[in-house]
Amino acid sequence: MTARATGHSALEFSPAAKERLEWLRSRYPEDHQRALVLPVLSMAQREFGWVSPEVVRFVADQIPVPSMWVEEVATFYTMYNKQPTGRWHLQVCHNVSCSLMGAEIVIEHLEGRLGIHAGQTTDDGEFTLTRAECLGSCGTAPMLQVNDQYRENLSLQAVDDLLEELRDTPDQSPKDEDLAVGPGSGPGRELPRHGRPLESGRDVHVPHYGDEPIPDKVAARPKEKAAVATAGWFEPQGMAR
Amino acid sequence: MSYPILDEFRVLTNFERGTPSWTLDSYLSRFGYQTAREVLAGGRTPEELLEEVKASGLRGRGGAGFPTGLKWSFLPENNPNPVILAVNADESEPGTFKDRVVLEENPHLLIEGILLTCYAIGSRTAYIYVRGEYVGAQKRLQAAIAEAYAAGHLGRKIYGSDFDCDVTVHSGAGAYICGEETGLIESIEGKKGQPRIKPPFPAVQGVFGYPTIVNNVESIASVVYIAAEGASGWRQWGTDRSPGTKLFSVSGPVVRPGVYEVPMGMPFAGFLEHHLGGMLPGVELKALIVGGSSVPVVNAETAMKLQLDYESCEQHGTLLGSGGVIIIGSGTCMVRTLMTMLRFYHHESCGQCTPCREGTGWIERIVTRIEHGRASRRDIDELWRVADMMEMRTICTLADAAAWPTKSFIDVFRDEFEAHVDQGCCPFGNRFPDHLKLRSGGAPQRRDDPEHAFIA
Repeated sequence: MTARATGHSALEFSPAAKERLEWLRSRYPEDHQRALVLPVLSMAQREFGWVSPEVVRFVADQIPVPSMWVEEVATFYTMYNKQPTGRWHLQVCHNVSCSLMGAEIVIEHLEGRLGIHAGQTTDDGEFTLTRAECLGSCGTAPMLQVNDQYRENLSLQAVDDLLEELRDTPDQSPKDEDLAVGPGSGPGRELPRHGRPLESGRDVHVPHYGDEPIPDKVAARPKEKAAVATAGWFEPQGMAR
Repeated sequence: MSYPILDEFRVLTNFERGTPSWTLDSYLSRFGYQTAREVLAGGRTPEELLEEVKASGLRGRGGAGFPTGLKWSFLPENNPNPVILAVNADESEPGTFKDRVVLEENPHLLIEGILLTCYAIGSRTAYIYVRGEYVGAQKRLQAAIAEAYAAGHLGRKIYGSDFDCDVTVHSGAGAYICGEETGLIESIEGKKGQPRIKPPFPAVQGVFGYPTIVNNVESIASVVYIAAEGASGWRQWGTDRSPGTKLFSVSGPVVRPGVYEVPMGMPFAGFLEHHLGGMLPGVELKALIVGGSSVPVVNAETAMKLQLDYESCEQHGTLLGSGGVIIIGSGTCMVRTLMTMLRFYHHESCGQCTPCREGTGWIERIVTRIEHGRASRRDIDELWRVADMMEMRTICTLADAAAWPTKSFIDVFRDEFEAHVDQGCCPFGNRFPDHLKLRSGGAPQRRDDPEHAFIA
């Protein structure tokens, strides 16, 4: 297995990712930084290969939010890999349009070629084969996704050629454009806040869960904290103008 | 041909395939941003623009077909809070890939649509929720937004007016349910995409608790033409209750699958023959799913009577949905097709409501048993009954989306279900037909012919 298969320790974002994180912060309201969970998790997966429990805690610390909030998102959405994947992650769409055009034949063929079942990784850590639901490429079925790239209008010959091509291609690190900072000064900062502003640091407005110690400050004032957490939802009249 | 040729009504796909149509230069050469410039310079008040969209009869292109202008008018009056526009580019309905063409080939049209929509609804903040798998589309869209900011089409004091507009791309991470508007809102807020109970409707409390309008990419992109040519311009195409043009994404064993923009009300028979080039050689039309996998299936006979608009589809017992046309050819096992679809709904159920969480798994298991011949005739009725019990009993329509095809597959192709249980095995040998062979056999019109890959 490759280095990705080991657990993560001493995580740190690259400078480009740090810059992007700061830009992302500016795109959402200051008291709704929870919105960062999805984009930062995606960024972390790009940086660290997969979403380990350490990555979940790391992402939670970066935003910052309770790690429970990150964990529930990481486990709800299918694109976050909760296990290390091979160097090439082949996701073959097996939904109705692709199946009609031969996706099952393609999957069987790939299973034979790689000597693994769908859902497994080859021993050399090169390929992970996964069955995926509709990837929005139905008109060019059957198709598969290699890491980020779509390969469409597959034939069995095209699948064989693809495997050869991938074996000979050196590893792809996250490209700069994936971590690029986008334009605009940020709408979020200028949206009015709900309730009262957040205190800085990790003292966010709900108690921590799991293996993290519960800070005294939060435990001491649960009612008040809970009111802030739900202000945006149930008390529209309480919104600041 | 008894209807006008394709080029006359290219509204959303007004570009030449094979050119860098996604760049700002290309868009400007097609009179891009002129409408927004005129409107923002005082050509129309927001109220006038909203009335124009209402009068155009534009119906939401995401699947439900709810009138877009009416949706906008649900925003609370004298609202002191900011309004947020959430553009739904989650497009995960199996068989649907129409928004991808707008995102990849014509992203500036979407941005101009966002500008106009924000102006009409009094918003200055838009989030585009793009499904996570569309990495290529996201890159094109991000690049287009960067170009638009640099050229002053987005940002502060656009075209010298007092109007500000900011657009942010928010990437999903692979959850079908986030295409439901309140699931999408939850996902933008950084939570699990579990739909909310309505009311309150998003127009009252949406993203971050602010009034929010959620519209499909295609609806927003259509606004540009309506703003430019007026409601009458839009109504020159389509039918009275389904005006305008619509993108249809076609998949299955036809000669030229792809995305087509056609006026509403086009007969499916003509669409199949002239646009799609007919079925692949040796394959007959067996069944048609006209609006993405969630709508009821119709057999070939009904399909030939169908017109591609909302009323005609309802009249024939199906729905236009998102316009994801799935063509099913002869030799295809309908039980296996249903099994493939139900596996998807079971996988994608968010787990909030019991009828959906348990029901999608239950009907998937029953249909899998039928497919493998390990069922009795009573199981077919049981399947229908469970699907019926799931309908209209959940927060969102995912349960209905699983129930409708199930019931219609049994209603239309009951003899096939019975053949499975009576013979104790799948008469089609537990396989889909191998259309792959037809393609690699060097058929005269190849599907990956660049001229026809996307007629668009």
